[in-house]
Amino acid sequence: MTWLTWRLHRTEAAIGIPIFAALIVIMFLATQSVNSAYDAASNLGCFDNGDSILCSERLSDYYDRSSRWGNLTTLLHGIPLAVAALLVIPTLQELERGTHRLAWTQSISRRRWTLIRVGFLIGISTLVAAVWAVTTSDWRSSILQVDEQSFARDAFELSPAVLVGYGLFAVALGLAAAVVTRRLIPTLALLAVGFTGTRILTTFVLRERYRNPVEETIPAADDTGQFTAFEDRWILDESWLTKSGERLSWERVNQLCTPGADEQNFEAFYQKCLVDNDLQYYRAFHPTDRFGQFQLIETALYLGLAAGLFALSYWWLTRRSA
Amino acid sequence: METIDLGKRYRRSWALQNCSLEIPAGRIAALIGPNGAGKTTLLNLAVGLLSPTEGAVRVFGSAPSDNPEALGRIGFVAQDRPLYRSFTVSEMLRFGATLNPRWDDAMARSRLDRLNIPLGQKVHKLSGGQQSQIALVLALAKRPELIVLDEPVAALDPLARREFLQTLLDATVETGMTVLLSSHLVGELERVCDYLVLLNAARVQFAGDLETFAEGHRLLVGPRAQTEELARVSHVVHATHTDRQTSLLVKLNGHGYDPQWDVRDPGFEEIVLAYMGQRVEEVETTR
Amino acid sequence: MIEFHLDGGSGVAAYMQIVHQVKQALRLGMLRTGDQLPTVRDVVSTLAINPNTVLKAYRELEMEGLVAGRQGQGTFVLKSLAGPALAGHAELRAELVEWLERAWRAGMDDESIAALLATTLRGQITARAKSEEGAA
Repeated sequence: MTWLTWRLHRTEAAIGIPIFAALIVIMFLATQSVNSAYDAASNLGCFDNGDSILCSERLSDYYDRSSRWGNLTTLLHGIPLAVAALLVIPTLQELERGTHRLAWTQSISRRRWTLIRVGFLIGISTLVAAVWAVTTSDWRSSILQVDEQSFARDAFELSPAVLVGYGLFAVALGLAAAVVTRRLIPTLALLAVGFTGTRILTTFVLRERYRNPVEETIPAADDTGQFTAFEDRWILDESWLTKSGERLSWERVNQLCTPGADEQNFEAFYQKCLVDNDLQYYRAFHPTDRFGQFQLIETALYLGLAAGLFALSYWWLTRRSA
Repeated sequence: METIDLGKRYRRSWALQNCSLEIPAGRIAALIGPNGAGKTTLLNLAVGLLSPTEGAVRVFGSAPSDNPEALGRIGFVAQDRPLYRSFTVSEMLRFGATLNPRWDDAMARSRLDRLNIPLGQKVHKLSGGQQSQIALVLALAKRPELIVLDEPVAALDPLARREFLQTLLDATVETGMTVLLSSHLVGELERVCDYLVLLNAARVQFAGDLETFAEGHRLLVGPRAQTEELARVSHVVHATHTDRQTSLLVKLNGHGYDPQWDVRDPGFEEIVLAYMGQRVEEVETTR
Repeated sequence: MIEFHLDGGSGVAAYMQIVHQVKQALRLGMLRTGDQLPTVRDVVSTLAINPNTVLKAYRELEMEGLVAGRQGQGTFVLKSLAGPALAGHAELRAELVEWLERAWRAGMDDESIAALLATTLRGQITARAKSEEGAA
C-alpha cells in the first residue's frame, strides 16, 4: 500500500511541499533580519544605555523589524490547519467517491487499510511539525533574547512539543470530519472552526489555569527593587493593595502620590509615598520553572484530543455498515 | 456462496429478510428484482462490505467480512464501478497488483489490449463502456473463484453491454469461476445465466435453476373468474383481470386444471414480472 | 468455420437454435465430415451466452450421432446431412406448386403467402422441438 498512499497524496504533496519550503525561507529571512538589527544595536550597548542618536536609530530599527516580522509570523499559527487540510483531502475524496470500497474488496481488510492510512497521517504531520519546530527555533531564541518571556505566545506555541500536538490534533479533527460528513465544505468548515476555536480556548482561557498561580503580596516597605526588575515569569494579575487588602486602581495610586511641581527625585518621592500609605504590591503569576510543565500539559491535552478523534475515525470506518 | 437466514436492517426497515440460498459453484447466477428489493444489500453482504443484522453469509465456507483470505478469491464490480478517476489505466493495474496477492498482470494487459483500451490514458477520459471493462478486468485479474457484479451493464449502450458480457463469459469458460450478477434488464439474462435468484420486497421469491423456473410455470387464461373459482386454483403467483377475462400465472404443481382455463407457456420475462407484481401482459406465443 | 446467430424473439430455445443451425450447415454442405465446430469458448465470446447452452447443443448433436467430441481437441463432424439435391424432391415440389395455385386462386397476395409459410413452418418447428424435448 505504500505506492498507493503516495500516489493518492501526490497532488497535495506537489502543492504543499513548495509552499512549506517557501515558509521555511520566510522564517529564515525573518530571523536573519531581526537578529542583524539586534546585533547592530547590542554591539553598541544600546540595550543598556540607549541615549545616543545612533542607538535610538538602531533600537527603533530593531523594534520595527521585530514587530513587522512578528505580525507576519502570527499568521503562521495557521500552518497546522493548512497541513491538516492538505493531508486529509485525498482521503476525503476517496470517501466521497467510494474508492475506499474498491480497496476494501481487494484482498486487504478494512482494519489494515484504516490503520495504514491513519498511521501515514500521523507520521507526516509529526514530521512536518518537527521540521517546523527546528525552523522556528532560531526565531524563538531571538524573541527570548530581549523579552525573555518564555510564556509569550510565540515563544510558547512554537516549541516542538506543542507544535506536534497542534499538528496531530488538526489532522485528527480533519480526518474525523471527513469520515463523518464525507463532503468537502463541511469537512473544511469543521476543521477550521474546531481547530481555531480550540486554540483560542487553550491560549486565552485554559493555559493560565493549568495550575493555580503563585500569589504574593509584598509591602512597599520591603521593596528591594523587585517590582521594577524584570523577571521571566507569566504575570496574570498585579496591582497595589491598601493595608487592609483593598485593590487600588493605577489612577488612584497616581492621584495619591502626585509629586509637587518642584520635586527633584521622582523615584524617591514615589517610594516614600507608597511606604507612607502602607501600600502593598500584589502579584499572581506562574514562575518560569513551570514552563516545561505547562508545555507538557498542553501537549498532552492536544494529543488526548487527537487520540480520541483518531479512535472515532477508526471505529466509524471499521464498523461495517458504511 | 450460501446464506443462512440472512437479514439486514437499516434503522427501521429491513432491506433483506430470511434470506436462505445457495449458489452452486460454476454457475452463472442472476439476481433479479425491482429497485429497492435488496439486491445491492445482498451483494454487499456477500463481499463483506456489510455485516448481517441476523443470520450469516458464507463464501467458500467462511464469512467474507474483514477476511483478506476469502476476499482474495472474490472479485467484485460495484454498481457505480468506482475507479480512481485521475489514475491512468496502468496505475489502476498497479493498484490491483499491490493490493492482491494473486494477480495476473499479463492476462489483464492482454485483455485490455484486445479491447483496445490504451494503458496510458486517464480513467476519467474513457467512455462508460471502457470504464466498465476496466473495472471488470481489475476483478478478473486477481483470478477469483467467485465474481460478484452489481448491475454491471445498466448504464451501458447495447454494444458496450454486449462487449462487457463477452469479456465476462469468456473468462468464465477459461476459469470455470462462479458468477453472481444482478440486473434489472431481465431479457438479457435468460441467455447468459443458468441459475436464478428472484428478490422482491426484501425476500427471496425463487432460487434455483433457470430451466426449472422457465418450465415450471403456466399461464392460465379464461373468462372472468369469481373468487371461489380462483381459490380452487393453487399456487397462483399473480392474477390479473379485465372485465371479460382473467389471467393467472401459476406454479406447476402436478394437478390438472379446470377445462375452462386455456393453458399456455409464459415467456421468461412474463414469469419474472409476475413475481415482481407487475401486470402480466397478454402475449401471443407460438410455443 | 461457421458462425452462429441467435434470434432472441423467436421463442425457440437458444440451444435448439444452435442445433438447427449446425444441421442446416450440414445440409447445405457448409460443414463437412471432419470439420471442427467452433469451440465453446469462441461461441461464448461472440454471442455472450451461457457456456452450458453451447454444451447442451453439442451434446444433443452428439446424441443424434452427427458430431463427436475429441478429448482436449474440440468437437468434430461425423456425418453430413447433404441429402439428395433439393431438385430431387419432385413429388413434394409438385404438391407445393398445386398448393400455391390454390392460394393465388383464393385471392392471397405474394406477401401473405410468404407470411403464412413462415409462421406455419416456425410453428411446426417449435411444436416438433417441444415433442422432441418431451420425449427426451
